[in-house]
Amino acid sequence: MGTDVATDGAPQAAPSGTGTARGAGTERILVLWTADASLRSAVVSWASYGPEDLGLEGLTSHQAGSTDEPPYPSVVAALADGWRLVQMAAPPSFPPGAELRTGHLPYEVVLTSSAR
Amino acid sequence: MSSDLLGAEAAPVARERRPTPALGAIDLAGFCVDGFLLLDGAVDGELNELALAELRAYPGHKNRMWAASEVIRSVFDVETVRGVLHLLAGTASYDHSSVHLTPAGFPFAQPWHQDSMVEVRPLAFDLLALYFPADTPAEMGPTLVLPGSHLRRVSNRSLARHHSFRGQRLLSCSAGSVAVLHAGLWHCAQPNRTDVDRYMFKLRLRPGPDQANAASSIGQPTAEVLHRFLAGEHPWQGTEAGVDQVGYAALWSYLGGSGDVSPEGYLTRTGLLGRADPTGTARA
Repeated sequence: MGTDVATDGAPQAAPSGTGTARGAGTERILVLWTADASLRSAVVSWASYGPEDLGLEGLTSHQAGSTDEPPYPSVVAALADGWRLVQMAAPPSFPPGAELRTGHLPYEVVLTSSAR
Repeated sequence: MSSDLLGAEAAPVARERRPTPALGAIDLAGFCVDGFLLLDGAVDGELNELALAELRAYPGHKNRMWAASEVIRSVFDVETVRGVLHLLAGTASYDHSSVHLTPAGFPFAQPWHQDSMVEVRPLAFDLLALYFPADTPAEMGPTLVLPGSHLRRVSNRSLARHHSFRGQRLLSCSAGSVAVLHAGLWHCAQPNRTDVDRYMFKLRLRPGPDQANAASSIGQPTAEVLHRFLAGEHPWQGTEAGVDQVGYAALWSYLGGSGDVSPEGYLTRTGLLGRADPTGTARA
């Protein structure tokens, strides 16, 4: 195989190999995208980031396509399990002439926890 | 296929003879709603063996193999494959191609992305044809796609924050399969948990001026086709599903499908049916 033939799954950033971030970080970020603007609506997409992602095991267990089912059925369920709300997106706007244009999932909610 | 885009050393894929349409109306509806078609096992075994051997032995640059390999080019000239590409892109021309290798045991997924930069054409689109020369089961890292995401306007890795979606689908397939993707489809490569290298050859095509109405021979939508559109929600869409469905119906109309297949007759009652820019992309 020629060396110019690139792999198609290269990570965005190489893991450091230590599995820790500056020694003591434990905060984990959970990003949930919901079906509509209600925090009770179904989770339709999700992502999880934290300091263990700097290690190989953490990175490969929290990457694109790693799970088929959401960690919580709704944001409310995540709050009930101890996650804290950091931010939620404003409802989308619909400018004249572009009412039918779609793009990113609009209902993004960011949560955090230091105990996971 | 335009030889001037290929370079003088590369033989064009035959486009002189019009291929036999290989899709029915329900297949075209599936492409409009899902953004891809998987032609499972479309290429026969002997050609796959030749292609896989060449891919394994190829010493050159990943973007140059198309010009160097008659075997690879012949894969996309298989009647079924050629017919589907013509039906969805008209008299297409070569854009670029690439060898994709996920080595045995490679543990990383690609971030979710949409190929290239944000799309500005209202309805015209490029095609991606992904050829898998060997059996590619789930554990080998077939391409992961998000059905129905193809009309969402994003830019390359602007969606890379996501890890997973409800309704994401692995394109697990048998040897000789070709996945034909609307170039807007969200996708990513997956880890290879086997001890065998996984190969895929990607060909990107630009549409011909005859992409509009390229599938006009499909005819009137049957009840089955209408159901495909009206039941065409995907689990990740939530409350925006209806807006995406209007886009799928506009895509059907652009490709030459007859009738209004939008939910609640939306395109008709808003006066948008048949418009060149029904979803407002060019005006936005």
